[in-house]
Amino acid sequence: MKKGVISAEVLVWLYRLLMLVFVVMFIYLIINAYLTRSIDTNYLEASVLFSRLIYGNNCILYNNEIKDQPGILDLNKITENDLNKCFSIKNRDIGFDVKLLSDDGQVLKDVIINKDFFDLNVACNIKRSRVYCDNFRDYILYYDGTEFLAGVLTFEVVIANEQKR
Amino acid sequence: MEKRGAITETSFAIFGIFAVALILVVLINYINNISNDNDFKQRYIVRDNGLLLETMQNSPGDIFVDYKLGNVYQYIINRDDNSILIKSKNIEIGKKYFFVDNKLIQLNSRLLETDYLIFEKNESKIDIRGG
Repeated sequence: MKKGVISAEVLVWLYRLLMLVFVVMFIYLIINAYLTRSIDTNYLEASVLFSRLIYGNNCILYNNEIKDQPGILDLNKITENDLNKCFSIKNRDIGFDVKLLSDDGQVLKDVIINKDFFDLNVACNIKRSRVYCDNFRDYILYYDGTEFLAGVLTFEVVIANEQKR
Repeated sequence: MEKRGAITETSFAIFGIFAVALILVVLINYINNISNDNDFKQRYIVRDNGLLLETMQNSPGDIFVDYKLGNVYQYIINRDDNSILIKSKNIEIGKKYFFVDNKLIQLNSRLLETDYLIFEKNESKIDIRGG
């Protein structure tokens, strides 16, 4: 076989190989689009975190020396230290702000957990944002050390968007 | 055709057959995994389990949950990095979910290989075992 014929043959094979790669890539992309079906649990994740504040044992609930009382918060337990114990956030992009307001709207406690990530809430309103933001608000009772008072608990949370994870 | 030319042409053909066979095998395996929905199932199960665990940690009362996985999976909870890992025997890389842990609640779990999980919460203790 002559030298020129070999070169032509190599070119033909390279062309075939390129076509094969192209077809495989095309199939891969179609399948990948199907594979990346998202499971959107953003709201669920946020609401589960909020539930921990109001119902979760060993967190910020008032304890009457027998057991924790769901729906009644202990004002003295709403601290960064206590919240970090019952919300251990590792390897997760979550930040939140817990506010306790008195019934006349005065802010009694305001604690932010994972502030660096929480500050991304400026991106909440951007379309296709990398973060999911939500707000929860509930009427609760709180114990200030002497008596039980009515108040409002607000919870603002920023979570890495499920579709971007 | 000269002998050297014939050998070169045969080499090209063999190389081509091998390349196509290799790509086809990889592609068929990949499609097979997807047709069984393994990837999606694992992503779904690991997230569902993570949310279940978070919810159980929130519960003021005791809870008992039976959880059928559908297939046999390896189930590993690592509290050092707050992760749940689920993987099939034949698939090396499993799916992980990082849950928000309540360190004040005791969690008993070891490496499980099962198609059936039992979650049991008694006061401040959660026990996870195979069925």
